[in-house]
Parts: sequence; C-alpha cells; structure tokens
Amino acid sequence: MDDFDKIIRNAEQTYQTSATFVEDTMQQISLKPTTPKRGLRLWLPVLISGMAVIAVVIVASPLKGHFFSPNDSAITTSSNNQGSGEKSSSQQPTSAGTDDASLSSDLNGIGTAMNQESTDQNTANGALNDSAEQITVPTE
Amino acid sequence: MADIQEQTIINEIMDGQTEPYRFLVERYHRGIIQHLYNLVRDADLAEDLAQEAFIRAYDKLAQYDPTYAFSTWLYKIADSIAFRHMKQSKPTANLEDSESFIADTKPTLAEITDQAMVNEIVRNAVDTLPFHYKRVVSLYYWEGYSYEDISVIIEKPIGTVRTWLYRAKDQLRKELYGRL
Repeated sequence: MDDFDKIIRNAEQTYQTSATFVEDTMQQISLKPTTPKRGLRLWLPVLISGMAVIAVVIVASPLKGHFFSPNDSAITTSSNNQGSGEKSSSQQPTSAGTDDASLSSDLNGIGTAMNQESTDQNTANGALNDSAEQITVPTE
Repeated sequence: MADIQEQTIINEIMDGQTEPYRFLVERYHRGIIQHLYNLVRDADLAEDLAQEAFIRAYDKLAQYDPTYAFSTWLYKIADSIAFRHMKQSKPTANLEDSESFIADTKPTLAEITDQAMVNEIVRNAVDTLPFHYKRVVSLYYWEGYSYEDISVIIEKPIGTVRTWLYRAKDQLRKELYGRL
C-alpha cells in the first residue's frame, strides 16, 4: 500500500452509532408475524432427485420388454416341448443367470412347467374321482 | 465460509427463534452503519438504512448461502439498499464544501499540518466521486474488504472492482494533489 492509500485509509471518519440501535432493530423484528422459513433450497434437491428416479423408471420400463423379446420364441418352444413331455435335443439350454433376460426366460419356463403340472394334477384328480365313483358299490 | 457459531445461530432462527438474531445485529451493526455513513454522509439516514438492511437480511435468511461469510452477504444487502436510495433520491452537491475545496486560495495538502483537516479534505474528495466509485473506496479502504469480497457485495466482476478502485484513486489524486 502506497502513501496515498494510507492517506485515504486514515481519512475514515468513525461514526458513533446510537446506543439503542440494536434494541430498536430487534423490536422491529419481533413485531414480524412469522420467522423466516426454509425455502426451496432444502426441498429442491430432494424434488429433483425424486423426479430423476421416476424418469429413469419410466424410460427403463418400455425397454424391459424390448430386451426380453428375442427370448420369447425360445420360451414358447421350451414350454411346448415340456408340455409334450419331450425335450428337443436340438434346443440348446439357456444359460441361466448370465443376464436378466436369461433369468427371466428361465423363470417363465418354470412357471409354464408348473402350470402344466397343475393341469396334469387336476386331470389326475379328475381321473381318481371318476374311479372312485366307479368303485363305490351301492349298498343293497 | 460461514462462521460455525453464526451458522448455528442461523439454524436456530430458521427453526423459529428470533432472539439469536440479536447476536448478529450486535456483531455487525457498527460496520454496516459506518459503511452506509461513508456513502450517504447522513448519520440518521445511515442508521435507518442499516436497520432496513438487518430486517431484510432477517426476512431473506432462507436465501443465505453459507459458501460466503454472513458479513459479506449482509454488506451486499446494505450496499444494494444504499444504491437504491441514491438512485431514488437526487443528492444535491454541497456547494459550500465544493467551493472551499476547489478554490485556489485554500492551503494545499502539503501545507496542512492538522491531520484532522487533511482527513476532512480527503473525505470531501471521496464525496465528489460517483456513487459506484465511492462504494468500492469505502469497502476497500475503510471496511477492509478484499477485491473478491467486494466483487460479491456489489455483484460485479473482480476486474470491474479493480478498475473502479483504480479510477477512483486516480480521480482523488488529481483532485487532491492538484492542490499541491
């Protein structure tokens, strides 16, 4: 700082503030009906994050069907083979667990197989019932 | 960065307490009033504007960014209030002071031995500066703020602050040393 800077700095006139300034100011503030509220500064990041998550979910959901569609034919083929009780030797087994598409196709195949077993069971139960009716001997 | 104690007080105010604000008023009211007095050169007006600044700061406390010191934010509010006041009012030049300052028959700075008189002459010279020069002179020389802080307070680039200070100093030098 050169000498001229010092001259300017020394020229400051110190002003003696009034003794009641703080009290008067606090009195004005106490008359306010409400205190300052936390504004969007706190909520805006949460809102933006939530909207981003929703956007990702919305964008990703149509793609889910797209990713799994190539395996649908394999699933259909697999379920048909299971229904007939035969396995096609030419059909290569899907390696389960390598990706979500494979896992989903495996699960669908299992579900179809379970449905088929349920149907077979119902058929068997029906056959038993028929047999039971035939076996029942009317009392004389 | 915000002082930890001040940040705690601000959090208490945001939670609904009013009394903690007194700490901030007591800490900064002298500097704020002094800065405003340097700008408006009226004691009562300076206190009125300072009170308005503290009340506005209280109302807008939710908008305070802790990245900056609370004092910097407070000075920014006070400075904008003073700037608005100066734009709305039409300050008339104190002709008597101007004439006594400009007249060649008056003693030069080199001849004045009374430091109080020197200081008064310098202050009068600062008063003749445009408002935006006056505010950077007050903030830099009398309030001790850095270029960076002044840049935040008056919301101008640092380069502008440096330019204004340089031009203010140059104008003061011409006004004061022209009397040598």
